[in-house]
Amino acid sequence: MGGTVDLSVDIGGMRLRNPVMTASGTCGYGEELAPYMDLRRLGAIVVKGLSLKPRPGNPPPRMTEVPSGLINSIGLQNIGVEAFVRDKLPSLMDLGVPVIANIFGEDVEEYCLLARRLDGSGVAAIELNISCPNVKKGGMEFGRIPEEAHDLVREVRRATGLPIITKLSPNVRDIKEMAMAVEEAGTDAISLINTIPAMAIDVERRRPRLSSIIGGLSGPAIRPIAVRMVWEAYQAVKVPIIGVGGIMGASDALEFVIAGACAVQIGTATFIDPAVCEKVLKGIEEYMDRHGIRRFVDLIGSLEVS
Amino acid sequence: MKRTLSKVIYNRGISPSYHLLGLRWEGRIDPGQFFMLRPWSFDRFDPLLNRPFGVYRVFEGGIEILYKVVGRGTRIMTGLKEGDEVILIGPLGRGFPFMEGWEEVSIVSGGVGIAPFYHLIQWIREKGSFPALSLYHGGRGEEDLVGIEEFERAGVTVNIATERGTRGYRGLISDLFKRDLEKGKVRPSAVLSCGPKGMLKEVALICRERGIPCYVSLDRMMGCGIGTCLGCVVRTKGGYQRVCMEGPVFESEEIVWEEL
Repeated sequence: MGGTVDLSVDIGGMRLRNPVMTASGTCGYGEELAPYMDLRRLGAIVVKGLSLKPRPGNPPPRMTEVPSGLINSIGLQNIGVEAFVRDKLPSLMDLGVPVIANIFGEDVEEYCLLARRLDGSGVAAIELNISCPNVKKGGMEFGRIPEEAHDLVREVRRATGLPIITKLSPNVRDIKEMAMAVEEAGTDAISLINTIPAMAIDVERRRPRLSSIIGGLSGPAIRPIAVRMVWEAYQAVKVPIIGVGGIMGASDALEFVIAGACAVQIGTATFIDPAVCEKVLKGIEEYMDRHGIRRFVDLIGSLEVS
Repeated sequence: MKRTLSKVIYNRGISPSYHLLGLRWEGRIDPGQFFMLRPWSFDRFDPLLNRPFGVYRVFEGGIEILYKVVGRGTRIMTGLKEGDEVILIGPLGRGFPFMEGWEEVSIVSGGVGIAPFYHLIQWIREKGSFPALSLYHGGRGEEDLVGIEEFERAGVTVNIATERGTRGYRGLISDLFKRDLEKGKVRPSAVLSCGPKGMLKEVALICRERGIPCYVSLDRMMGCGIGTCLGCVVRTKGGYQRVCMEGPVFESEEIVWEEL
Protein backbone atom coordinates (compact mmCIF):
# COMPACT_ATOMS: atom_id res chain seq x y z
CA MET A 1 0.00 0.00 0.00
CA GLY A 2 1.17 3.49 -0.80
CA GLY A 3 0.84 4.78 2.73
CA THR A 4 -0.20 8.23 1.58
CA VAL A 5 -3.79 7.72 2.61
CA ASP A 6 -5.28 6.58 5.92
CA LEU A 7 -7.63 3.68 5.27
CA SER A 8 -8.22 2.71 8.87
CA VAL A 9 -11.68 2.59 10.35
CA ASP A 10 -13.28 1.72 13.72
CA ILE A 11 -16.18 -0.68 13.95
CA GLY A 12 -17.69 -1.43 17.31
CA GLY A 13 -14.36 -1.09 19.11
CA MET A 14 -12.44 -2.97 16.42
CA ARG A 15 -9.73 -1.03 14.69
CA LEU A 16 -9.47 -2.19 11.09
CA ARG A 17 -6.44 -1.37 8.94
CA ASN A 18 -8.73 -0.91 5.98
CA PRO A 19 -12.43 -1.26 5.17
CA VAL A 20 -12.31 -4.31 2.89
CA MET A 21 -13.51 -7.66 4.27
CA THR A 22 -14.53 -10.96 2.82
CA ALA A 23 -18.24 -11.78 3.05
CA SER A 24 -19.31 -14.81 5.03
CA GLY A 25 -19.62 -17.97 3.00
CA THR A 26 -17.38 -16.82 0.19
CA CYS A 27 -13.92 -17.36 1.63
CA GLY A 28 -14.46 -20.66 3.46
CA TYR A 29 -12.44 -20.54 6.64
CA GLY A 30 -9.84 -18.27 5.07
CA GLU A 31 -7.32 -20.97 4.19
CA GLU A 32 -8.98 -21.70 0.85
CA LEU A 33 -8.16 -18.16 -0.34
CA ALA A 34 -4.58 -18.17 0.91
CA PRO A 35 -3.05 -19.50 -2.35
CA TYR A 36 -4.60 -16.61 -4.28
CA MET A 37 -4.09 -13.49 -2.22
CA ASP A 38 -2.21 -12.16 0.76
CA LEU A 39 -4.88 -12.44 3.44
CA ARG A 40 -2.95 -10.00 5.62
CA ARG A 41 -4.05 -7.25 3.26
CA LEU A 42 -7.67 -7.63 4.34
CA GLY A 43 -9.34 -5.33 6.83
CA ALA A 44 -11.01 -8.35 8.38
CA ILE A 45 -11.88 -11.94 7.49
CA VAL A 46 -15.50 -13.01 7.92
CA VAL A 47 -15.69 -16.79 7.94
CA LYS A 48 -18.39 -19.19 6.81
CA GLY A 49 -21.47 -19.25 9.08
CA LEU A 50 -20.98 -21.45 12.13
CA SER A 51 -23.54 -23.46 14.04
CA LEU A 52 -23.23 -25.34 17.32
CA LYS A 53 -23.11 -28.72 15.61
CA PRO A 54 -21.69 -29.48 12.16
CA ARG A 55 -24.27 -29.21 9.38
CA PRO A 56 -24.13 -31.22 6.13
CA GLY A 57 -25.94 -28.55 4.10
CA ASN A 58 -28.59 -28.98 1.42
CA PRO A 59 -28.59 -31.67 -1.28
CA PRO A 60 -27.30 -30.58 -4.69
CA PRO A 61 -27.98 -28.80 -6.96
CA ARG A 62 -27.12 -25.90 -4.70
CA MET A 63 -26.28 -23.16 -7.12
CA THR A 64 -27.50 -21.66 -10.36
CA GLU A 65 -26.39 -18.76 -12.49
CA VAL A 66 -28.80 -16.01 -13.54
CA PRO A 67 -28.16 -12.73 -15.41
CA SER A 68 -25.53 -10.84 -13.39
CA GLY A 69 -26.21 -13.00 -10.38
CA LEU A 70 -26.05 -16.30 -8.63
CA ILE A 71 -28.73 -18.11 -6.65
CA ASN A 72 -27.41 -20.41 -3.95
CA SER A 73 -28.87 -22.68 -1.37
CA ILE A 74 -25.85 -24.17 0.34
CA GLY A 75 -27.82 -24.62 3.54
CA LEU A 76 -25.07 -23.41 5.88
CA GLN A 77 -22.85 -26.46 5.50
CA ASN A 78 -20.18 -25.99 8.16
CA ILE A 79 -17.88 -27.86 10.49
CA GLY A 80 -19.45 -26.55 13.70
CA VAL A 81 -18.05 -24.07 16.21
CA GLU A 82 -15.86 -26.54 18.13
CA ALA A 83 -13.95 -27.76 15.07
CA PHE A 84 -13.60 -24.17 13.90
CA VAL A 85 -12.07 -22.98 17.16
CA ARG A 86 -9.81 -26.03 17.40
CA ASP A 87 -8.71 -26.57 13.78
CA LYS A 88 -9.15 -23.36 11.83
CA LEU A 89 -8.92 -20.38 14.13
CA PRO A 90 -5.30 -20.69 15.35
CA SER A 91 -3.74 -20.38 11.90
CA LEU A 92 -6.20 -17.65 10.92
CA MET A 93 -5.20 -15.64 13.97
CA ASP A 94 -1.54 -15.94 13.03
CA LEU A 95 -2.30 -13.66 10.08
CA GLY A 96 -2.80 -10.73 12.42
CA VAL A 97 -6.08 -9.76 10.74
CA PRO A 98 -9.29 -9.51 12.81
CA VAL A 99 -11.36 -12.67 12.38
CA ILE A 100 -15.11 -12.21 12.47
CA ALA A 101 -17.14 -15.34 13.16
CA ASN A 102 -20.51 -15.44 11.46
CA ILE A 103 -22.90 -17.46 13.62
CA PHE A 104 -26.28 -19.04 13.09
CA GLY A 105 -28.67 -20.69 15.54
CA GLU A 106 -32.09 -22.26 15.38
CA ASP A 107 -33.27 -20.40 18.46
CA VAL A 108 -32.15 -17.64 20.81
CA GLU A 109 -30.43 -20.08 23.12
CA GLU A 110 -28.27 -21.50 20.36
CA TYR A 111 -27.13 -18.03 19.31
CA CYS A 112 -26.22 -17.30 22.94
CA LEU A 113 -24.32 -20.56 23.35
CA LEU A 114 -22.36 -19.84 20.19
CA ALA A 115 -21.57 -16.29 21.27
CA ARG A 116 -20.44 -17.49 24.69
CA ARG A 117 -18.29 -20.21 23.17
CA LEU A 118 -16.51 -17.68 20.95
CA ASP A 119 -15.95 -15.19 23.76
CA GLY A 120 -12.25 -15.37 24.56
CA SER A 121 -11.55 -17.73 21.64
CA GLY A 122 -9.58 -15.11 19.79
CA VAL A 123 -12.18 -13.96 17.28
CA ALA A 124 -12.42 -10.19 17.08
CA ALA A 125 -16.19 -10.01 16.69
CA ILE A 126 -19.25 -12.04 15.86
CA GLU A 127 -21.63 -11.44 13.00
CA LEU A 128 -25.16 -12.63 13.68
CA ASN A 129 -26.69 -14.27 10.67
CA ILE A 130 -30.37 -13.60 11.27
CA SER A 131 -31.18 -13.60 7.62
CA CYS A 132 -30.20 -16.76 5.81
CA PRO A 133 -32.91 -17.78 3.36
CA ASN A 134 -31.59 -21.33 3.05
CA VAL A 135 -32.55 -23.00 6.27
CA LYS A 136 -36.00 -23.95 7.39
CA LYS A 137 -35.86 -22.96 11.03
CA GLY A 138 -34.59 -19.79 12.68
CA GLY A 139 -32.39 -17.52 10.65
CA MET A 140 -34.78 -15.72 8.40
CA GLU A 141 -37.54 -15.61 10.99
CA PHE A 142 -35.48 -13.45 13.31
CA GLY A 143 -34.49 -11.32 10.38
CA ARG A 144 -38.02 -10.60 9.25
CA ILE A 145 -39.62 -9.32 12.44
CA PRO A 146 -38.07 -6.31 14.22
CA GLU A 147 -39.26 -7.37 17.68
CA GLU A 148 -37.76 -10.84 17.28
CA ALA A 149 -34.49 -9.42 16.02
CA HIS A 150 -34.42 -6.98 18.92
CA ASP A 151 -34.91 -9.70 21.53
CA LEU A 152 -32.31 -11.94 19.91
CA VAL A 153 -29.66 -9.22 19.83
CA ARG A 154 -30.45 -8.24 23.41
CA GLU A 155 -29.90 -11.81 24.62
CA VAL A 156 -26.69 -12.26 22.65
CA ARG A 157 -25.50 -8.90 24.00
CA ARG A 158 -25.88 -10.34 27.51
CA ALA A 159 -24.06 -13.52 26.54
CA THR A 160 -20.85 -12.04 25.16
CA GLY A 161 -18.43 -9.19 25.52
CA LEU A 162 -17.42 -9.45 21.87
CA PRO A 163 -18.46 -6.76 19.42
CA ILE A 164 -21.70 -7.80 17.69
CA ILE A 165 -22.41 -7.15 14.03
CA THR A 166 -25.98 -7.98 13.05
CA LYS A 167 -26.42 -8.99 9.42
CA LEU A 168 -29.76 -7.83 8.12
CA SER A 169 -32.03 -9.38 5.56
CA PRO A 170 -33.34 -7.33 2.64
CA ASN A 171 -36.55 -9.31 2.92
CA VAL A 172 -38.24 -6.88 5.30
CA ARG A 173 -41.02 -4.34 5.22
CA ASP A 174 -38.71 -1.49 6.21
CA ILE A 175 -34.94 -1.75 6.62
CA LYS A 176 -34.84 1.38 8.82
CA GLU A 177 -37.19 -0.23 11.31
CA MET A 178 -34.96 -3.35 11.46
CA ALA A 179 -31.78 -1.33 11.82
CA MET A 180 -33.24 0.72 14.64
CA ALA A 181 -34.54 -2.36 16.44
CA VAL A 182 -31.13 -4.06 16.56
CA GLU A 183 -29.36 -0.81 17.38
CA GLU A 184 -31.63 -0.32 20.36
CA ALA A 185 -30.93 -3.88 21.47
CA GLY A 186 -27.21 -3.16 21.63
CA THR A 187 -25.65 -4.29 18.40
CA ASP A 188 -22.28 -2.65 17.75
CA ALA A 189 -22.67 -2.57 13.99
CA ILE A 190 -24.91 -3.82 11.23
CA SER A 191 -24.05 -5.43 7.95
CA LEU A 192 -26.42 -5.45 5.00
CA ILE A 193 -27.64 -7.00 2.87
CA ASN A 194 -27.83 -10.75 2.93
CA THR A 195 -29.03 -12.48 -0.26
CA ILE A 196 -32.48 -11.87 -1.70
CA PRO A 197 -34.85 -14.88 -1.86
CA ALA A 198 -35.04 -15.94 -5.50
CA MET A 199 -35.89 -18.82 -7.80
CA ALA A 200 -35.05 -20.15 -11.25
CA ILE A 201 -36.75 -22.84 -13.31
CA ASP A 202 -35.51 -25.23 -15.95
CA VAL A 203 -38.41 -24.88 -18.38
CA GLU A 204 -37.51 -27.92 -20.48
CA ARG A 205 -37.81 -30.21 -17.49
CA ARG A 206 -40.27 -27.98 -15.58
CA ARG A 207 -38.14 -28.42 -12.52
CA PRO A 208 -36.60 -25.95 -10.09
CA ARG A 209 -32.90 -25.29 -10.70
CA LEU A 210 -32.17 -25.78 -6.98
CA SER A 211 -33.04 -28.77 -4.83
CA SER A 212 -34.48 -26.42 -2.23
CA ILE A 213 -36.52 -24.61 -4.95
CA ILE A 214 -35.82 -21.18 -3.45
CA GLY A 215 -32.34 -19.83 -2.77
CA GLY A 216 -30.58 -16.54 -2.14
CA LEU A 217 -29.63 -14.19 -4.97
CA SER A 218 -26.25 -12.49 -4.83
CA GLY A 219 -23.94 -10.73 -7.25
CA PRO A 220 -24.09 -7.44 -9.18
CA ALA A 221 -27.82 -7.89 -9.83
CA ILE A 222 -28.60 -7.01 -6.20
CA ARG A 223 -26.17 -4.15 -5.72
CA PRO A 224 -28.53 -1.21 -6.36
CA ILE A 225 -30.97 -2.65 -3.82
CA ALA A 226 -28.19 -3.04 -1.27
CA VAL A 227 -26.92 0.51 -1.85
CA ARG A 228 -30.44 1.85 -1.37
CA MET A 229 -30.82 -0.06 1.89
CA VAL A 230 -27.47 1.12 3.23
CA TRP A 231 -28.50 4.70 2.43
CA GLU A 232 -31.82 4.25 4.22
CA ALA A 233 -30.23 2.59 7.24
CA TYR A 234 -27.53 5.27 7.41
CA GLN A 235 -30.19 7.90 7.94
CA ALA A 236 -31.90 5.88 10.64
CA VAL A 237 -29.08 4.63 12.90
CA LYS A 238 -25.76 5.75 14.38
CA VAL A 239 -24.03 2.35 14.59
CA PRO A 240 -21.47 1.63 11.88
CA ILE A 241 -22.82 0.02 8.72
CA ILE A 242 -20.99 -2.58 6.66
CA GLY A 243 -22.16 -2.64 3.05
CA VAL A 244 -22.54 -5.97 1.26
CA GLY A 245 -24.11 -6.93 -2.04
CA GLY A 246 -22.67 -7.45 -5.49
CA ILE A 247 -19.46 -5.46 -5.11
CA MET A 248 -17.25 -6.33 -8.08
CA GLY A 249 -14.77 -3.47 -7.96
CA ALA A 250 -13.61 -0.34 -6.18
CA SER A 251 -16.26 1.97 -7.58
CA ASP A 252 -19.00 -0.41 -6.42
CA ALA A 253 -17.45 -0.43 -2.94
CA LEU A 254 -17.29 3.36 -2.98
CA GLU A 255 -21.00 3.58 -3.78
CA PHE A 256 -21.70 1.84 -0.49
CA VAL A 257 -19.24 4.03 1.40
CA ILE A 258 -20.63 7.25 -0.02
CA ALA A 259 -24.13 6.01 0.84
CA GLY A 260 -23.03 5.56 4.46
CA ALA A 261 -21.11 2.31 4.89
CA CYS A 262 -17.88 2.47 6.87
CA ALA A 263 -16.66 -0.84 5.49
CA VAL A 264 -17.58 -3.33 2.80
CA GLN A 265 -17.72 -7.08 2.40
CA ILE A 266 -16.93 -8.79 -0.88
CA GLY A 267 -18.62 -12.05 -1.65
CA THR A 268 -19.63 -13.34 -5.05
CA ALA A 269 -16.81 -11.46 -6.81
CA THR A 270 -14.34 -13.64 -4.91
CA PHE A 271 -15.66 -16.64 -6.83
CA ILE A 272 -14.72 -14.97 -10.10
CA ASP A 273 -11.41 -13.55 -8.98
CA PRO A 274 -10.03 -14.80 -5.67
CA ALA A 275 -7.70 -11.80 -5.57
CA VAL A 276 -10.50 -9.24 -6.02
CA CYS A 277 -10.26 -7.82 -2.48
CA GLU A 278 -6.75 -6.56 -3.19
CA LYS A 279 -7.95 -4.93 -6.40
CA VAL A 280 -10.80 -3.19 -4.56
CA LEU A 281 -8.45 -1.91 -1.90
CA LYS A 282 -6.02 -0.58 -4.47
CA GLY A 283 -8.87 1.07 -6.37
CA ILE A 284 -10.12 2.82 -3.22
CA GLU A 285 -6.63 4.19 -2.59
CA GLU A 286 -6.33 5.43 -6.14
CA TYR A 287 -9.72 7.12 -5.85
CA MET A 288 -8.71 8.85 -2.63
CA ASP A 289 -5.45 10.00 -4.21
CA ARG A 290 -7.26 11.32 -7.24
CA HIS A 291 -9.80 13.21 -5.13
CA GLY A 292 -7.30 14.47 -2.58
CA ILE A 293 -8.96 12.63 0.29
CA ARG A 294 -6.46 11.66 2.98
CA ARG A 295 -8.70 9.88 5.47
CA PHE A 296 -11.04 7.14 4.37
CA VAL A 297 -13.50 7.98 7.13
CA ASP A 298 -14.16 11.34 5.47
CA LEU A 299 -15.79 9.51 2.58
CA ILE A 300 -18.37 7.71 4.69
CA GLY A 301 -21.87 9.04 4.01
CA SER A 302 -20.49 11.83 1.83
CA LEU A 303 -23.34 11.63 -0.68
CA GLU A 304 -24.41 15.03 -1.92
CA VAL A 305 -28.12 15.23 -2.55
CA SER A 306 -28.92 18.90 -2.87
CA MET B 1 0.15 -17.85 -7.43
CA LYS B 2 -2.41 -20.16 -8.97
CA ARG B 3 -4.37 -17.24 -10.39
CA THR B 4 -2.89 -15.75 -13.53
CA LEU B 5 -3.82 -13.51 -16.39
CA SER B 6 -3.20 -15.74 -19.36
CA LYS B 7 -3.20 -14.94 -23.05
CA VAL B 8 -4.98 -16.76 -25.82
CA ILE B 9 -2.50 -18.31 -28.26
CA TYR B 10 -5.13 -19.74 -30.59
CA ASN B 11 -8.79 -20.67 -30.63
CA ARG B 12 -9.99 -22.75 -33.53
CA GLY B 13 -12.88 -24.97 -34.43
CA ILE B 14 -12.02 -28.55 -35.32
CA SER B 15 -15.61 -29.63 -36.02
CA PRO B 16 -18.94 -27.80 -36.00
CA SER B 17 -19.18 -27.98 -32.20
CA TYR B 18 -15.69 -28.84 -30.91
CA HIS B 19 -12.95 -26.26 -30.49
CA LEU B 20 -9.38 -26.10 -29.28
CA LEU B 21 -8.21 -23.21 -27.14
CA GLY B 22 -4.49 -22.67 -26.57
CA LEU B 23 -3.55 -20.61 -23.51
CA ARG B 24 -0.24 -19.40 -22.15
CA TRP B 25 0.62 -21.28 -19.00
CA GLU B 26 3.65 -22.75 -17.34
CA GLY B 27 3.90 -25.21 -14.54
CA ARG B 28 3.16 -28.74 -13.48
CA ILE B 29 -0.27 -30.25 -14.01
CA ASP B 30 -1.42 -33.67 -12.85
CA PRO B 31 -3.61 -35.48 -15.39
CA GLY B 32 -7.27 -34.95 -14.53
CA GLN B 33 -6.76 -31.62 -12.81
CA PHE B 34 -8.71 -28.67 -14.17
CA PHE B 35 -8.62 -24.89 -14.51
CA MET B 36 -11.24 -22.23 -13.89
CA LEU B 37 -11.31 -20.00 -16.92
CA ARG B 38 -13.03 -16.69 -17.45
CA PRO B 39 -13.50 -16.65 -21.22
CA TRP B 40 -14.78 -13.08 -21.13
CA SER B 41 -13.67 -9.89 -19.45
CA PHE B 42 -13.92 -9.51 -15.68
CA ASP B 43 -16.27 -6.55 -16.22
CA ARG B 44 -18.82 -8.61 -18.06
CA PHE B 45 -21.24 -10.05 -15.50
CA ASP B 46 -23.58 -12.00 -17.72
CA PRO B 47 -22.64 -14.83 -17.73
CA LEU B 48 -21.29 -14.22 -14.26
CA LEU B 49 -19.25 -17.24 -13.30
CA ASN B 50 -15.99 -18.68 -14.55
CA ARG B 51 -16.10 -22.10 -16.17
CA PRO B 52 -14.18 -25.26 -15.26
CA PHE B 53 -12.19 -26.97 -18.03
CA GLY B 54 -9.95 -29.99 -18.10
CA VAL B 55 -6.62 -29.95 -19.88
CA TYR B 56 -6.44 -31.72 -23.21
CA ARG B 57 -2.78 -31.25 -23.94
CA VAL B 58 0.22 -29.60 -22.33
CA PHE B 59 2.91 -28.08 -24.51
CA GLU B 60 5.93 -25.84 -24.04
CA GLY B 61 4.60 -22.61 -22.53
CA GLY B 62 0.94 -23.46 -22.74
CA ILE B 63 -2.08 -25.68 -22.29
CA GLU B 64 -4.73 -26.73 -24.75
CA ILE B 65 -8.38 -26.99 -23.80
CA LEU B 66 -10.80 -29.06 -25.84
CA TYR B 67 -14.31 -27.67 -25.49
CA LYS B 68 -17.69 -28.36 -26.98
CA VAL B 69 -20.23 -25.62 -27.58
CA VAL B 70 -23.12 -26.57 -25.33
CA GLY B 71 -24.56 -23.28 -24.13
CA ARG B 72 -24.21 -19.56 -23.97
CA GLY B 73 -20.86 -19.57 -22.16
CA THR B 74 -19.09 -21.85 -24.60
CA ARG B 75 -20.69 -20.00 -27.53
CA ILE B 76 -19.18 -16.74 -26.31
CA MET B 77 -15.90 -18.59 -25.82
CA THR B 78 -15.64 -19.32 -29.52
CA GLY B 79 -15.13 -15.56 -30.01
CA LEU B 80 -11.83 -15.50 -28.11
CA LYS B 81 -8.95 -14.35 -30.30
CA GLU B 82 -5.18 -14.59 -30.21
CA GLY B 83 -3.80 -12.13 -27.67
CA ASP B 84 -7.01 -11.84 -25.60
CA GLU B 85 -6.37 -11.78 -21.87
CA VAL B 86 -8.28 -14.21 -19.66
CA ILE B 87 -8.33 -15.03 -15.94
CA LEU B 88 -6.99 -18.55 -15.49
CA ILE B 89 -7.03 -20.22 -12.07
CA GLY B 90 -5.37 -23.56 -11.47
CA PRO B 91 -4.38 -26.30 -11.76
CA LEU B 92 -7.13 -27.36 -9.38
CA GLY B 93 -8.43 -30.49 -7.71
CA ARG B 94 -7.22 -34.05 -7.60
CA GLY B 95 -6.61 -35.83 -10.87
CA PHE B 96 -6.43 -39.47 -11.90
CA PRO B 97 -4.33 -41.85 -9.86
CA PHE B 98 -1.82 -43.93 -11.70
CA MET B 99 -0.32 -46.92 -10.02
CA GLU B 100 2.91 -48.54 -11.04
CA GLY B 101 1.49 -52.04 -10.78
CA TRP B 102 -1.24 -51.45 -13.37
CA GLU B 103 -0.53 -53.62 -16.39
CA GLU B 104 -3.57 -52.69 -18.40
CA VAL B 105 -5.73 -49.58 -18.18
CA SER B 106 -9.04 -48.98 -19.94
CA ILE B 107 -10.36 -45.49 -20.51
CA VAL B 108 -14.07 -45.06 -21.12
CA SER B 109 -15.16 -41.65 -22.35
CA GLY B 110 -18.21 -40.05 -23.88
CA GLY B 111 -18.31 -36.93 -26.06
CA VAL B 112 -16.16 -34.11 -24.74
CA GLY B 113 -15.35 -36.38 -21.78
CA ILE B 114 -12.37 -37.50 -23.84
CA ALA B 115 -10.67 -34.20 -22.99
CA PRO B 116 -8.57 -35.14 -19.92
CA PHE B 117 -7.27 -38.40 -21.32
CA TYR B 118 -4.93 -37.23 -24.00
CA HIS B 119 -2.94 -35.39 -21.36
CA LEU B 120 -3.05 -38.50 -19.18
CA ILE B 121 -1.54 -40.57 -22.01
CA GLN B 122 1.11 -37.89 -22.61
CA TRP B 123 1.94 -37.98 -18.93
CA ILE B 124 2.09 -41.79 -18.68
CA ARG B 125 4.42 -41.95 -21.69
CA GLU B 126 6.66 -39.24 -20.32
CA LYS B 127 6.99 -41.20 -17.10
CA GLY B 128 8.38 -44.03 -19.20
CA SER B 129 5.57 -46.31 -18.18
CA PHE B 130 3.97 -48.58 -20.78
CA PRO B 131 0.86 -50.36 -19.56
CA ALA B 132 -1.48 -51.66 -22.24
CA LEU B 133 -3.92 -48.83 -22.90
CA SER B 134 -7.33 -49.08 -24.45
CA LEU B 135 -9.75 -46.25 -25.13
CA TYR B 136 -13.47 -46.83 -25.37
CA HIS B 137 -14.96 -43.66 -26.75
CA GLY B 138 -18.57 -43.04 -27.57
CA GLY B 139 -20.72 -40.30 -28.99
CA ARG B 140 -23.92 -39.62 -30.86
CA GLY B 141 -22.22 -39.72 -34.23
CA GLU B 142 -19.12 -38.75 -36.17
CA GLU B 143 -19.19 -35.23 -34.67
CA ASP B 144 -18.25 -36.57 -31.23
CA LEU B 145 -15.17 -38.45 -32.40
CA VAL B 146 -12.53 -35.74 -32.24
CA GLY B 147 -8.90 -36.43 -31.47
CA ILE B 148 -9.21 -40.20 -31.90
CA GLU B 149 -6.24 -40.37 -34.28
CA GLU B 150 -3.96 -38.82 -31.69
CA PHE B 151 -4.75 -41.65 -29.30
CA GLU B 152 -4.02 -44.18 -32.02
CA ARG B 153 -0.70 -42.52 -32.78
CA ALA B 154 0.15 -42.71 -29.08
CA GLY B 155 -0.22 -46.50 -29.24
CA VAL B 156 -3.63 -46.73 -27.60
CA THR B 157 -6.09 -49.39 -28.80
CA VAL B 158 -9.13 -47.35 -29.80
CA ASN B 159 -12.69 -48.67 -29.73
CA ILE B 160 -15.57 -46.56 -30.93
CA ALA B 161 -19.32 -46.61 -30.44
CA THR B 162 -21.81 -44.20 -31.94
CA GLU B 163 -25.50 -44.06 -31.09
CA ARG B 164 -26.41 -43.45 -34.71
CA GLY B 165 -24.07 -46.20 -35.85
CA THR B 166 -22.11 -43.99 -38.23
CA ARG B 167 -18.85 -45.48 -37.00
CA GLY B 168 -17.83 -48.43 -34.84
CA TYR B 169 -20.27 -50.23 -32.60
CA ARG B 170 -23.85 -49.06 -32.91
CA GLY B 171 -25.05 -48.15 -29.44
CA LEU B 172 -23.63 -47.06 -26.14
CA ILE B 173 -19.91 -47.19 -25.40
CA SER B 174 -20.61 -48.72 -22.00
CA ASP B 175 -22.31 -51.66 -23.77
CA LEU B 176 -19.32 -52.18 -26.05
CA PHE B 177 -16.96 -52.01 -23.09
CA LYS B 178 -19.05 -54.53 -21.17
CA ARG B 179 -19.13 -56.88 -24.16
CA ASP B 180 -15.33 -56.72 -24.54
CA LEU B 181 -14.88 -57.39 -20.83
CA GLU B 182 -17.14 -60.41 -21.07
CA LYS B 183 -15.23 -61.70 -24.07
CA GLY B 184 -11.96 -61.18 -22.25
CA LYS B 185 -10.79 -58.82 -24.99
CA VAL B 186 -9.66 -56.42 -22.27
CA ARG B 187 -8.60 -57.27 -18.70
CA PRO B 188 -7.96 -53.85 -17.14
CA SER B 189 -6.23 -53.46 -13.79
CA ALA B 190 -8.19 -50.21 -13.54
CA VAL B 191 -10.77 -48.19 -15.45
CA LEU B 192 -10.73 -44.41 -15.81
CA SER B 193 -13.83 -42.66 -17.05
CA CYS B 194 -15.19 -39.24 -17.95
CA GLY B 195 -18.38 -38.30 -19.76
CA PRO B 196 -22.13 -37.99 -19.30
CA LYS B 197 -23.64 -38.96 -15.95
CA GLY B 198 -25.59 -41.93 -17.33
CA MET B 199 -22.44 -43.38 -18.89
CA LEU B 200 -20.40 -42.92 -15.71
CA LYS B 201 -23.06 -44.68 -13.65
CA GLU B 202 -23.11 -47.58 -16.09
CA VAL B 203 -19.30 -47.88 -16.14
CA ALA B 204 -19.20 -47.75 -12.33
CA LEU B 205 -21.74 -50.57 -12.15
CA ILE B 206 -19.88 -52.71 -14.70
CA CYS B 207 -16.67 -52.28 -12.69
CA ARG B 208 -18.37 -52.95 -9.37
CA GLU B 209 -19.76 -56.27 -10.64
CA ARG B 210 -16.27 -57.37 -11.65
CA GLY B 211 -14.32 -55.85 -8.77
CA ILE B 212 -12.27 -53.61 -11.07
CA PRO B 213 -11.05 -50.35 -9.49
CA CYS B 214 -12.75 -47.48 -11.32
CA TYR B 215 -12.05 -43.75 -11.16
CA VAL B 216 -14.50 -41.23 -12.56
CA SER B 217 -14.05 -37.55 -13.33
CA LEU B 218 -17.20 -35.58 -12.49
CA ASP B 219 -18.31 -32.45 -14.28
CA ARG B 220 -20.44 -30.15 -12.13
CA MET B 221 -21.47 -26.57 -12.32
CA MET B 222 -19.00 -24.68 -10.14
CA GLY B 223 -19.22 -21.34 -8.40
CA CYS B 224 -15.58 -20.83 -7.55
CA GLY B 225 -13.53 -23.97 -8.27
CA ILE B 226 -11.33 -23.32 -5.24
CA GLY B 227 -13.33 -24.81 -2.41
CA THR B 228 -15.04 -21.77 -0.93
CA CYS B 229 -18.58 -21.73 -2.28
CA LEU B 230 -19.59 -25.36 -1.55
CA GLY B 231 -21.81 -25.25 -4.61
CA CYS B 232 -20.40 -28.27 -6.47
CA VAL B 233 -20.74 -30.96 -3.82
CA VAL B 234 -21.69 -34.57 -4.52
CA ARG B 235 -22.89 -37.12 -2.01
CA THR B 236 -20.21 -39.68 -1.19
CA LYS B 237 -20.10 -42.44 1.39
CA GLY B 238 -18.23 -39.97 3.59
CA GLY B 239 -20.84 -37.20 3.19
CA TYR B 240 -20.87 -34.28 0.79
CA GLN B 241 -17.56 -33.66 -0.93
CA ARG B 242 -16.51 -30.79 -3.15
CA VAL B 243 -15.92 -31.83 -6.76
CA CYS B 244 -13.43 -28.94 -7.08
CA MET B 245 -11.26 -29.94 -4.11
CA GLU B 246 -11.78 -33.59 -3.19
CA GLY B 247 -12.47 -34.32 -6.88
CA PRO B 248 -13.00 -33.95 -9.77
CA VAL B 249 -11.76 -37.56 -9.87
CA PHE B 250 -13.36 -39.90 -7.36
CA GLU B 251 -13.10 -43.59 -6.81
CA SER B 252 -16.42 -44.74 -8.24
CA GLU B 253 -17.26 -46.80 -5.17
CA GLU B 254 -17.15 -43.62 -3.06
CA ILE B 255 -19.99 -41.98 -4.99
CA VAL B 256 -23.60 -42.40 -3.92
CA TRP B 257 -24.77 -42.89 -7.50
CA GLU B 258 -28.50 -42.84 -6.75
CA GLU B 259 -28.14 -39.19 -5.73
CA LEU B 260 -25.88 -37.99 -8.50
